[in-house]
Amino acid sequence: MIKKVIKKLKLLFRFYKGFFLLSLIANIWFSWIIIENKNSIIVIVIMLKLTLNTIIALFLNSYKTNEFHYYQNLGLSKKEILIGVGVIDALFFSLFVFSVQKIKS
Amino acid sequence: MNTLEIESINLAFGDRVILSDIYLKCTTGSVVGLLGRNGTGKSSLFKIAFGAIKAQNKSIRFNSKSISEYSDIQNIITYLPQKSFVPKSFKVNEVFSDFGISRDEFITSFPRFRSKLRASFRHLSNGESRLIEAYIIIKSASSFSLLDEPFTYISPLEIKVIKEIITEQKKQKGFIITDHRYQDILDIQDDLYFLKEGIIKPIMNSQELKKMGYPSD
Repeated sequence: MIKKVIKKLKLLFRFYKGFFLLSLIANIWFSWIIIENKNSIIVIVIMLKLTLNTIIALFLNSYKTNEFHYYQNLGLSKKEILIGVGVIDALFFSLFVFSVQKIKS
Repeated sequence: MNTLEIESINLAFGDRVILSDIYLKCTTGSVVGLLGRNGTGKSSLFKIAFGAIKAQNKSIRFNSKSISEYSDIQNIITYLPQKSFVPKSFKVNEVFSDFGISRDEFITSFPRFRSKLRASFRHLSNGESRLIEAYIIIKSASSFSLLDEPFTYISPLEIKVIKEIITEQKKQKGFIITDHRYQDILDIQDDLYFLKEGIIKPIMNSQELKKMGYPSD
């Protein structure tokens, strides 16, 4: 069971690696917006981040359909991939924003 | 022995009926060949069975139980799609490791790949990528494999080896295969079906296939 979970996590990170750079650039940009503005802008930044993630998910769903089969053949469903990667990205984003706020204060 | 039954498949796009009440059965130890012209719905049937697309109606059963009752569908079915499915940035080594398949056995069958194990898929030719993709799905630990055009881009010599591997692997699993190289399908099939105008028909011999007008030339 644990072995299976570790394998799935490994595959999720592998999938996330495919657009990690894009996510990192977005996080740096969003953090810069937070630094330049007050904390009240965080809600708008989160909305922007969610919009970007939705666009990425739609892009992957339309143009990377065959690559999903790689993961599906290894036991990860499309739903698991999209939710799993969404959670990883949200954690990464939260950590980024939290660190930026710490630096700011 | 395991049994996979693909049953009551109905697929239509608007008024156009693609698949009508399809029934297909495969058991461990058998290679089921599926033939038909372009656009008759062979690939759609595979996608439906694998759960990649939805159908108006479908029933996929594994050992008489609905496949939705199993949490690990990949242990039951693996699928080789028509188009390349391994991300281009992945290395050959990594792919074998992900699927838990022996690289040594692969090299024994296809020695020319020895120098390519560390290459990423973007540096392989279409034929090389296709051969590795077909190999990993054929060798995957699932009970059944659906192979959509496994011989495309592959040289005749290597097709011969792939056919031998399928024949060896069918001792422990079942295969459903479609390919335009129908003679290669005829060489390894145990059961043959022909898909035309949304309806599937069992074919007993190549004469019957000719009567159905296949192949057209």
